[in-house]
Amino acid sequence: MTTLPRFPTIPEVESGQIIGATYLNALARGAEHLLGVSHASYALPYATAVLQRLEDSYGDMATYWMLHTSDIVAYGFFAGNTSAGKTWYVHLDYYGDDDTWHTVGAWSGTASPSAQSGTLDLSAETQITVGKIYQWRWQGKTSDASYYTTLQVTMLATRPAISGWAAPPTLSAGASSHASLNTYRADLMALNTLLPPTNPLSYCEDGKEHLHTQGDWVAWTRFAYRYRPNGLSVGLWANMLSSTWNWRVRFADAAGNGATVYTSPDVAAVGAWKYESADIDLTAGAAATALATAGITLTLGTGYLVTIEAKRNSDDHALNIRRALCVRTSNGTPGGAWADNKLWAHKNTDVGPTQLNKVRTDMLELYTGGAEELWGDSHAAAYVADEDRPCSGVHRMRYLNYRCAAGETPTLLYGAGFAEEYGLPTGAGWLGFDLSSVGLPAGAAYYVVNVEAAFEGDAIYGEA
Amino acid sequence: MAQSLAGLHLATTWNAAGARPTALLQVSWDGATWTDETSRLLAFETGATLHTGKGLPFLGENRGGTAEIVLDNHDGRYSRRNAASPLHAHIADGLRGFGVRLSAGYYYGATPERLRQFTGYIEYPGESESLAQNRVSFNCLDASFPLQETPLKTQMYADYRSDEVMAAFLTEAGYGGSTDLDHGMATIPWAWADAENAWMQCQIVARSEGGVFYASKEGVLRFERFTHWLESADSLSSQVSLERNRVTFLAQQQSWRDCYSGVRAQWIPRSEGPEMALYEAHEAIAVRPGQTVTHEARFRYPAQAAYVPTAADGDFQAVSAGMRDLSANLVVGATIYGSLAEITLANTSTSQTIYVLDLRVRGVPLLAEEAQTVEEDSALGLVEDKVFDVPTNDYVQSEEQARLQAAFLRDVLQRPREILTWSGPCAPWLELGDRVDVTSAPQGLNALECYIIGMRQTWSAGAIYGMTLELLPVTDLYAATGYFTLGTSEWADAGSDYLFY
Repeated sequence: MTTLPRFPTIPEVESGQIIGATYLNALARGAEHLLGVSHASYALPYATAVLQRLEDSYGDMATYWMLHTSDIVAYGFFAGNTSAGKTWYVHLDYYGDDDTWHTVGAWSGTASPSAQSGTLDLSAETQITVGKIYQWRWQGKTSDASYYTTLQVTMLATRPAISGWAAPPTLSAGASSHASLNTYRADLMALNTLLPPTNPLSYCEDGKEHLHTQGDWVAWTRFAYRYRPNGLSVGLWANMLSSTWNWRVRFADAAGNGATVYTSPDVAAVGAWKYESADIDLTAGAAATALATAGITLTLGTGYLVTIEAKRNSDDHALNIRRALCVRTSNGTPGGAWADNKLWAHKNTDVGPTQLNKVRTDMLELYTGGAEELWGDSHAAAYVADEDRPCSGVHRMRYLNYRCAAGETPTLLYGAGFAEEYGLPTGAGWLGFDLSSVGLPAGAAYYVVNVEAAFEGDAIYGEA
Repeated sequence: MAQSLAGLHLATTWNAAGARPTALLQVSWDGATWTDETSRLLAFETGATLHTGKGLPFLGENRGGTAEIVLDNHDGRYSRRNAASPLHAHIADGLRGFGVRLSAGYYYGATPERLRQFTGYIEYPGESESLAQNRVSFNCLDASFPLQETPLKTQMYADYRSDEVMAAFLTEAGYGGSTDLDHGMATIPWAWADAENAWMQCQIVARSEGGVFYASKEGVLRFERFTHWLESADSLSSQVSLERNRVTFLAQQQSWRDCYSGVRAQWIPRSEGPEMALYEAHEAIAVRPGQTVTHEARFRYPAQAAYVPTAADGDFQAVSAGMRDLSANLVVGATIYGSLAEITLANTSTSQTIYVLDLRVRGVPLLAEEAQTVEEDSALGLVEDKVFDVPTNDYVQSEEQARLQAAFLRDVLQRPREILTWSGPCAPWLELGDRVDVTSAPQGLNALECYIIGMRQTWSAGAIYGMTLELLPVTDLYAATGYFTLGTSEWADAGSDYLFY
């Protein structure tokens, strides 16, 4: 059995109580634990292509599974119509405990493209229960069946609000108080509770055979990046018989500004599947320059679109690509005014504001508006019914929650060159698997292929 | 915490040359009223201790305070087979479990001034008859008695402080008396009891963070945390000066045997495993028409959660002998505890016996991983390669808990400790944990400040009211004084009070 990082247990204290290094170290470790989570690598959730619907009656445009962790649901999409002045219609539904679809949001407009984002409060919904996995769907229609309504979904997640947070007091030299420390404790625990119980795995478009004109860049698969500094690790598999090919990573903001943040050199075809990857620092070097030139400002918490494109350099040979991987990375540098905490020891005599206020400073960085702001987004997992897809991500949580695609054996690909394989149990509905039984390295990238949808969780969750 | 002397003169009368002891014994025969039995009291001896090993209160369990009370039984008042006894209706089935209150002190002039010295229950009697005397002795246990009699099964408590765990355990044990529980210093990730002695469980919980759990003379259940004696006023200043003028016995013993070069403490981490069958019955359970069967399911592992079995989830089949489905006639209920479930199977059929096949209880297990250890070594070099292993404690589940224990005990055990034994007239307001000072010039003791870690009292009609104290010098317990106390110490970037472990 492997072990995972554990948030420290921090007891309450009372007036008249002697405090010790164990206690103060627990406060400090709590802040450091959350900083570690803030800088975690994780797979970016899938963003759809620009989907189209020609009918003037509602029909499915995108489908998801989502663990219901909170009654607040965050959404983001671009909608539009291929003809100016025509109206697009979109609504969002979940499939409730009563085996009925329930609409929780509906939008329409004539502007195109129209960026829509926000949150929905589902607290009045009676057919959805926290802790279960539900089906979701985006449906759309057009006002004129001669023209398409378009939809690109970039965000669907539950987003709980922080609970139990109180403004942490600043300590001053002089009379000590237990209440201040208890507020620190409560705030640390509130921040920790905010963290999502899931770790998304990137859903990837099906493998693609590029037969386009040589030298033309063609978009393949997309990811939504709610920005946290400061980079990306992107990879894909390709197979081409001969010649060379290239791939690149495009980065776009909601205003439509776009930049190329990475372009591969010519990749020589080897006649077999080969993994290509790149680590991209968005805050330095060529990528940062490209973003600045395009007028893109990176802002913590703001949504961006990451697109992988590829081109072949010969019309004579098809370029096959599959299994994209797109991971947020961090250089680990704390943001804002983050203060490194003291390692407390028995008989220390500097139990005062300089050291203790560091915990407060750090918590404020982790709180709303801080440079290390944590958020509790638990992302939906896209799927296409009865179709298998590869999912990829970074191993951070113990359990894999997954749904099998009909007739397929879900398989883990991990280790050096993703050469290790492990076949997962098959079955109907959502299944759970304890990843600690495989020896998947913590923090390592891996694939789970031949699944309909998957995500990591701190538990095994059941379908509603 | 010493008893209050407000309005009393015991601080002078206890040590007076002509001190006249007085005692009051009350017994609750009917469970509601207290009967004065003092007129028959011949003698008593009480005892209480906070340590069982190495002279430290933080290492072992204490059995609970005891009292042996000797009474005149010339008329068979306390003889359970004596139908003429006025107590016969109460004691005919045995002299056990009756509440006892014992107070003692001294006369101030003609006024008896007494303080409670023991609150408990009769555990068992002893009766004897000789030529001149017919006596009975009550062997009593303090307020721990009902808890020692109570097997405790509890639900799973997650992330409770030690005092909260004890409070929950006491509630589940049906304890309705008074408590005085310090705020715990540690949070226990998972706590539960499995048909175990409630008193012992509370002590193990207390010990998991280096605290002590005991019953006071007034019958209050107390939890005192690791630092209690550095915080409590009665442990910070001497409650009585034990001078040589009245001492009947004074001994010092320095134990090199219990001096160690290091301390090793264990913790056993637990983590939630994947949902599994925690229990599977290995035989069919027959439930006759109209019958309700209670089936005890002991889990393979303690469980973070367990679910009431349902046929729909495949947790059992309910069939007749002919394998006809009778699940509609079976009402299943369950009381879930931390490591077992009591499952009730009620058959609503009037004619068919139901056989419950393949009964299982599913849940989320708490898997215990290998014990981890931390070791804190002494730099003093008084002894070499002699490491003390702190006894394993199921409630020590985090490194923080283990390291706290190891660091503290390393400082305490790296030097030989001294235990003083002092006997003399009884100062009846003293309690365990109080600070006293001892003076005896021949032994070089000049107001040596000590904690009381054990106390025995003896009283008999017409004799001296005596006490024997086991004393641990204050300097042998904590590495420093002036630790940082919330609400008292001041935040300071330099020169603050000391940080504790």
